[in-house]
Amino acid sequence: MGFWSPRRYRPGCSASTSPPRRDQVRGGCGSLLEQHGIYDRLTVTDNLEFHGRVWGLGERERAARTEDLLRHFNLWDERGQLAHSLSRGMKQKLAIARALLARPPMVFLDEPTAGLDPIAAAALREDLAVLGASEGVTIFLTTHNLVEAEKLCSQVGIIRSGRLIALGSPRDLRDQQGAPRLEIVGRGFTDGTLAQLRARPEVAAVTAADGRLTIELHEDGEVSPLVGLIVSAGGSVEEASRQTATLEDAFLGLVTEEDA
Amino acid sequence: MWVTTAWPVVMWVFLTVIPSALFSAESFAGERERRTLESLLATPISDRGILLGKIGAAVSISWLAGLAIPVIGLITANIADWQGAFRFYPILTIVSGLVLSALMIVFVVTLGSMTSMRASIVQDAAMTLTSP
Repeated sequence: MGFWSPRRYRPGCSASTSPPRRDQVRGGCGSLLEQHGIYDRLTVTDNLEFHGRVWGLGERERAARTEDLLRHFNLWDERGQLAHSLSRGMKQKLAIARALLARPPMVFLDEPTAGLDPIAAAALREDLAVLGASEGVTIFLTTHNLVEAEKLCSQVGIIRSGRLIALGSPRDLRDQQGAPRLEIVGRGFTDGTLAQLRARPEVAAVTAADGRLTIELHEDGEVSPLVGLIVSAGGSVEEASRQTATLEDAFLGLVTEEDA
Repeated sequence: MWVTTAWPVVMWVFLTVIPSALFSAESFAGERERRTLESLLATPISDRGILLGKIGAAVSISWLAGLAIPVIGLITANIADWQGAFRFYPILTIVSGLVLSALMIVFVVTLGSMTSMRASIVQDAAMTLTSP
């Protein structure tokens, strides 16, 4: 992990007006990099003990933090095992425990669930969500998994070719990619019904094809009056679902705009 | 007669090159090979601290391992040619051996750590160090 000297520096989260030194940056950040960096020849506890010493934690604090984190990640029973005997998911958990050990104000996690089976990945995501709230740390999550980002992150930044092209909450980014729409499956959608729908103020556009009605809504448009209107006009509704753009839709939209 | 010659010191100093080269070749290339180097570099320890720590550890271990050379030589000489009393090295031989082997180890370990920093695997570092 190398550092480049800043060409420009604007104070942000740091109160200092001068660029922070490398050791200050490192001392303020925990990290899980692409490789977990766990020492296979050490036990689970010794891995944390080593990093606790490196971070200058006292003996009591090291022991207490080690127990807290290992219990939280369900690794307490494996504390005496050599790390090479752990599964990949357990090693990822141990590496995250290591990153959080010294209670740094910021933690960088690079693809924490990469290579895990779906069950282990879901469990780790849940642990991360709980830890993010309970430890009071800012977690920077680097991921290509947009579902994961949508579940865990309060702020999402999209980087394309080394440039930040969008930043905001998942909802803000989704909303940038168009208003929600209503998909209705059924029968009896007459031209008169479509005309009545188009006349509604919350409706932006209506299209019908193959027994499927797609109604583009203005932001925060109500859905139930529209379903009632269709039924009262003689239409039959088998299924109605309100759909919003996912973060993946937002990402693809932003990237397409960027490439255009 | 055997223990009063300069040979024990010469052997002691030159044989310490082997553990020094092996331990120092492992220092950075070993971390890189096991993919733990990046995590180590992300800790609050400065780059200089990591380098000095690696050199210090390799020097200490090599110097302690080097002590086995005169001890084994002495035991072998006494068993092979027992003359009724245990023979020991003169104090000047011991002091010379300790100092000269330490200097040799510092030189080899520093060279080895520099080589290890640029090697991708331990074997490459060891080959570079031991190739004529």
